[in-house]
Amino acid sequence: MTVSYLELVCPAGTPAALRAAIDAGADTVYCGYRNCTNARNYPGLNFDQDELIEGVEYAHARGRKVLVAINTFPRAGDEKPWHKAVDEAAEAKADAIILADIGVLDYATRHQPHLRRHLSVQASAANAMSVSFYRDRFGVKRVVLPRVLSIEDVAALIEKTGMETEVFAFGSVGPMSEGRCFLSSYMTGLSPTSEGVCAPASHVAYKEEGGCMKSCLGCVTLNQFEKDEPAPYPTPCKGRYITHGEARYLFEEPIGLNAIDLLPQLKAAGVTALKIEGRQRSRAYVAEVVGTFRKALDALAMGSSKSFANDLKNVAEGGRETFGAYKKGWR
Amino acid sequence: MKQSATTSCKSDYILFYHRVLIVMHGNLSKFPFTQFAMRVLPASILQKIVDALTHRMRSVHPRLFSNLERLEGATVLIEPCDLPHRFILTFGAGESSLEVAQGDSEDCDATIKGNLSALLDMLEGRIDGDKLFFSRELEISGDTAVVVALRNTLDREEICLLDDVTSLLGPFADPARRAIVLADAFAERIRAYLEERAQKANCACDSLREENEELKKKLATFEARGKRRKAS
Repeated sequence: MTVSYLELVCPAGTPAALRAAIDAGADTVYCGYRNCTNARNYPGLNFDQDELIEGVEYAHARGRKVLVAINTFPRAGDEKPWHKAVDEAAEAKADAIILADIGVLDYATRHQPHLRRHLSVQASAANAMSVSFYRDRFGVKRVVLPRVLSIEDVAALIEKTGMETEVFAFGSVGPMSEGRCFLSSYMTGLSPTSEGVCAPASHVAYKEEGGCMKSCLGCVTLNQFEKDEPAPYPTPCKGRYITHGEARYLFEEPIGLNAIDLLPQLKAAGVTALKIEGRQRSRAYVAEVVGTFRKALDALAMGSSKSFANDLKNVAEGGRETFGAYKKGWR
Repeated sequence: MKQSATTSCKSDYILFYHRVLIVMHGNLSKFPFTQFAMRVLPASILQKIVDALTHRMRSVHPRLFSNLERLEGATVLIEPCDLPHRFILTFGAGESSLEVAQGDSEDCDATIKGNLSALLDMLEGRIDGDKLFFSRELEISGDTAVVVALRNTLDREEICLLDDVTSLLGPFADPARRAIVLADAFAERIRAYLEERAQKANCACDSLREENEELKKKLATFEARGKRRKAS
């Protein structure tokens, strides 16, 4: 196996998506169990233990890795599903687990000391002090950085901590308080951080009214679209709310993060791995995004400076793209 | 006036021809042979094909059906907007079936609406459902959790409908597959030809419309002159 320009870490919501990601050129795939232990607990999605074992075998046979996300926060007095997930990931021979809760990190450190530990973005570790704490206390080897840092911030954090870092390269742009966002729970009563679902499908409704489509979460109308107007995800942070008589996106516009044209800068900053978001998306999305990033990384490894900027616009949320906090262009 | 009558007759012919081409072009957009076959088949025969296909898929994709059956019980109305047929998919609580809808289907938990080609692309994992949704090519209504569960469950399975359909024919599967691929390729050529002709007919229509407008203006001028002469 040749060493990738940057490690390409790709999502898999299903076993078919895992195979699609690996076949499209992923170095590493991350996935989760079919329960509340991972932050993408949507109906029909995720892996049972047999599927994970098969997936790990498929990846290892091709020299690739599988990470298991166990990145929600246990409910008081109900930590068993999280402990079981850690033990089963070790049994499935996963290459690492991605954790957020310090209790689960402590359990994994004591019970599965040889299983590599990564820090999930859900832990919101965005500064050197926080990252060093997880490194020193729980032997965390890699941190997935929240989407709040500029490239200069990322470089400074790496220099101070010496940690492996994984940064988001493609996906959503949220209100930049990952792991600390409770907006959805106010509307649904279900917590994204302990139930693993932001804007659970059971609470989402689409209604056609007067030629327009309305998206609702619980009893709150999030948005209204004219015919042919692009639709964003029905999450509270992408809602269009009326203030001062005008409907506008108060938190975040429907736009996707795409750092494909920042890869040399991210590598120069010392980043180890690129994370593609989208375990809830289809295997067609996985194959398209992973394939495009693979081409871009291979081109860079060969010394090419070809731009792939517009190749993924059609799969980005709202059909628009941004560099997000990496460039902080709004400042 | 003789010239105008001739123009009108020619115009009617071209407009009719134009409409025929557009309808045929629409019918033969993507998966042309499959789509055409599904349009012309009556519901009763289509149901028999659907039953045979479901039976076949059950043996080829057992995990898909066990995954569908372990979901919560639900019915979904699938509406290909370019077909005269609609389908009711029932799954969960230990059962799964696909039926051609008869009459109103208001009792379904959810509805998925889109072009047949988009729905088939999604079923076979060639296109992302969210992408279709962002671009409004796919409409969903009713219980969103049911639609998400169905979408995710289908996406777990690598399905090739062409293989599943032709495998119904046993030893004739390979020739049938080749014949369908050829038929689709042939239909695609017809589609391209019709598209070109439709564009030409469109241009002819535009020039006739312009000519018509010119003639109307001229006529109005003659009528105005006639009135003025009468008045004087």
